[in-house]
Order: sequence, then structure tokens, then C-alpha cells
Amino acid sequence: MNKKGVIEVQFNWIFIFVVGTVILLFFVFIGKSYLENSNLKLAGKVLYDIDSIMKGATSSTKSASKLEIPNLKLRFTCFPDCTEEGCSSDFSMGDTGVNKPTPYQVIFANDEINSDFLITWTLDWGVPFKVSNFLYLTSPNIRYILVYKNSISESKTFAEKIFALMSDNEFLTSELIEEEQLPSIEDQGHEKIRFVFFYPFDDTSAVINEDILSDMIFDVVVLTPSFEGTAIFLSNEQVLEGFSYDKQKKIGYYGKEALVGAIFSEDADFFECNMRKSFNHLNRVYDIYRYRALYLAKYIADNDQFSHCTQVYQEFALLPDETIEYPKEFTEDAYKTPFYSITKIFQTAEDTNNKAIINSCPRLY
Amino acid sequence: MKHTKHIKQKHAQLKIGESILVLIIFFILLTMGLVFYAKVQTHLTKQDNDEFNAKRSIDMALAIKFLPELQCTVQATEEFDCIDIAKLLIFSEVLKNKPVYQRYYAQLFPNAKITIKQAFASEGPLISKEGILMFDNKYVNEEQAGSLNILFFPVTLYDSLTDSNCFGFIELEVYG
Repeated sequence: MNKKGVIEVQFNWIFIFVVGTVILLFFVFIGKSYLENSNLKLAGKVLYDIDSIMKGATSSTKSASKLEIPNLKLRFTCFPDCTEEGCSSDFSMGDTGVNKPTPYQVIFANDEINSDFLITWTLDWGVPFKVSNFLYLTSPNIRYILVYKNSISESKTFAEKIFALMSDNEFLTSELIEEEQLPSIEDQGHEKIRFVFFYPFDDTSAVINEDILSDMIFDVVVLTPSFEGTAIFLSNEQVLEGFSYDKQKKIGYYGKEALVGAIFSEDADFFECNMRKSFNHLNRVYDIYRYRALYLAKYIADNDQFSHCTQVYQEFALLPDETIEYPKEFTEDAYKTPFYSITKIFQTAEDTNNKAIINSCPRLY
Repeated sequence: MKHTKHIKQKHAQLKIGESILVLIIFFILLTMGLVFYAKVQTHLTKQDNDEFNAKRSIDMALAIKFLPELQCTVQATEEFDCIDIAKLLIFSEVLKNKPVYQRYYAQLFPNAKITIKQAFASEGPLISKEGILMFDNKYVNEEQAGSLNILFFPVTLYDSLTDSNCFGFIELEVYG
């Protein structure tokens, strides 16, 4: 073997090594981008399917279902800085970054659903005319415990009503307990417990067994025992370390569907965001009914059968063309601002409709 | 001596040439594979696109049928597959006055045109033959559209002024 032969053989190996590395890198690159793409594609497909499921669920009123979904983290966000154009809100699939904006859809849910099953529930929000369907999303991993206090009778009656409503959805894990039973609750392996108090509990240490709760993920929502009231959201740290009601954000709700929304919402911001979306829907539907009243008042006299009905719709038709703002707290003052009490609008709608029925005129709604 | 050197040099050149040839054939096969894969992917993407458009159409149809702004109601309880003509006529009026609502419906019905038509009425026509245009949100015209799905959904139309019903249908044109 001479020197030149050795160089030729070595060159051959170097050539194979370089070209081999290039080919290998090429395939690694192709494989990696294919994997990334297929993950994104899968996330997009699952997201689109879940969006379709949600749209279907939203369309059918008073329906509940439990659907098997791929066990990928579903994340929901909703920020309360909304405009008439909608809210900054979306749902996304795990850490893929694939998301679907939901600026208008009213979806009450936890910020993260990590389960093989998705529980959907729909109720229609009527004030008294139907405004929108509210969609509630949860998973079997979340346990809802409704708490009342025997000494506060309205809290008991109201908690029972809400429990009966939630029991309509057979897929939910909900319980109704008295305050004294709180220390004896046991961990049943749920990912999270949501306590719903229908009275302002104050002595945390007396009602909550800290030894049991320290091992659990839980949070609390305190509701007024009424269909018009405020919700206060408390995290587990706040409950265990102490809190003051005065410093908590209070979010108003109107109607039992909105109250249920508070039970299913992650926190105060999430709930407020969805209430603002609901009020955007309310404004659109209110406008339609106001114009409908004007239309009926104007043209109903053309029909001899209904000639006596002209005056029936006047009161509702003459309500001002202004936006109904979402009052954060449904206090006495909130009912008077910003342009009228919203209850007055709803009452006028109800009165107009009743008048129409009594006079055998076409109904307003 | 010189002759042996020459033969060895030729031998080495031949080996490199062989390797290059193998590589060229390999890359040709690879390119053919990639072209084939790309074609299959294009076909699959088109299929996905069609499926997406079909789903989009169904979602829109559901949205129209259950729109509280249009549905007939009896004491706030909705009547399925029924459109209130008064609400329908008002709908376009409200949209004209409130551009912010237009943007809401534009995202609800992207690249679509919705017309409500009457099919049959025993007591004469309640709406014109051309129907009532509920919403027109086409981004492209028919010639430019990649695809066009036209769906018809039967509904009943309720006229509150005469308290009468008639048959009608929703014509939903979804442009791809």
C-alpha cells in the first residue's frame, strides 16, 4: 500500500461520512417538521370538533351530555375588558398554541379541563324574552358541593332549588350539605372541589377542616340566595389564610342561568367576562324586540281582527334606543343606572306581553 | 511502476463516481417520493377543506335555525324550525342602524349569503317571490369562489300581523 492509496481510501470514508450526515440531517428535519405538523393538525382537528360539539350543544336548549374527548388539556380564557365588539376570549388545546377565539360565545367553564370526558350543559337565559343559550362545560373530575346554613332559612331553600336544578344534569357530581357536615367531607379523588356557599360564611376555621382541605385542590364561590345577586370568588389560599369580604371583587348576576354560570366559572374575571358577553347578546335581542313592538304598533291596525291592539305595544316600543350596560353589582343603585333599571325594561316587556295575551293580540315574545 | 499508479488512480475515481451515481439515484428516488407525498397531501388537504366547508355550512345552518333574533316564540319558549317574519323584516333594519351588530353576524356567518324564501301559502304570499335577504356577507363573487355550497332548510314562516303560518325555506350559500 502506498501513501496515495491510503489518502484515496480515507477520502472515500470522509465523503461517505459527510454525505451520510447530510442525508441523516435531512431525514431528521423532515421527521421533526412532520411530527410538529401532525401534532398541530391533530390539535386543530380536535379543537374544531370540540367547537362543533359546543356549537351543537349551544343550539339545543336545556340539554346535557357527557362526551368522550382526547385527553388533551383544554384551556379557556376570558378577560373582562370587553367592548360591544366582544371580549378577548378563546379556548385552546394544551401547549400547542392552536386556539379558537370565542369573543361572543357565553361559555362558563374552568380555565383548564384535563379529562377523557367533557360534560356539556345548556340553559337558555330568558329575561323574560329569550336572549341566549348559556353553555356550561366541566368534567367528571370536578365536584360541586353546595353548602347552606340551617339558621339562615333562605340559604337552605335556595340551595335546595339550585341543587334540584343541577340534579337535572345526571352527569354532574354535585352534593348538598349543611355547614356542620363540612368538616366530615372526604376526598373522593376528584381533581378539584368547588364549594358553593349560599350565605357569607365568616369563620373559616370553624367550618372548614383544614387537615382534609390542605391535601385537596378547592376553591369557593359565595352567592346571594337570590336569582339577582352577587358572586364572590375565593381561592383556596384565601380561604385557608383568611380573607375580608370587603376587599373581594363582587360580580353581579341576573337570573338562575347566570347564577349557575358563577358556579361553573373559574374565577371572578372569567365570570364577569361571560356576563359582559351575555349583555352584548341582550342588547341585540332587546333591539329586535323593541323594533318588533314598533312594527306591531304601526301595522297591526291594518288587520281588522287586531285593530284594538295598537296601544298594547306602545310602552315597550317607546323605551329609549340605548345600550343596556352590565351593572357589576345588582344593588339598588345599579337598578337605577345607567339608563334605566334593567328590571324596568324586563318588567315592561312582561307587562306588554301579558297585555297582548289578555287582549288577544299577537304576543311580543 | 507508472502504469500501476495510473490503474490505482482510475480505480479510486471509479469508486467515487460509483458513490456519486448511487447518491444521484437515491436523490432522484427521494424527489419522486416527495413529489408523490406532496400530491397525496394536496389531495388530503382538499378533502379536509371540503370537510371543513361542509361542517362550516352545518354550523351556520344550526346558528340560523336557533337564532333568538329570528325564532318564533310562545311565552319565551322557542318554536323549532319557525321564523317570525316581523323579526326577519326588523333584522335588516336593526343591522342598518347598528354597524357593531353587523360585525357580530359577519363572524357568525363568514363568507355566506342567507335568504329566506316562501314555498307555499294557502292565503297568498306573505313575502315577495325573491324572498327576504337576511344577511349577505360574501367576500368573493361566484366566479372567484373556490367552492360554493348551497343548502336549503325547510322552515315555517309566522306572520304575527295576520296570525298565520306558511311553509318556507332558508337558502344558505356558503362560499369557500
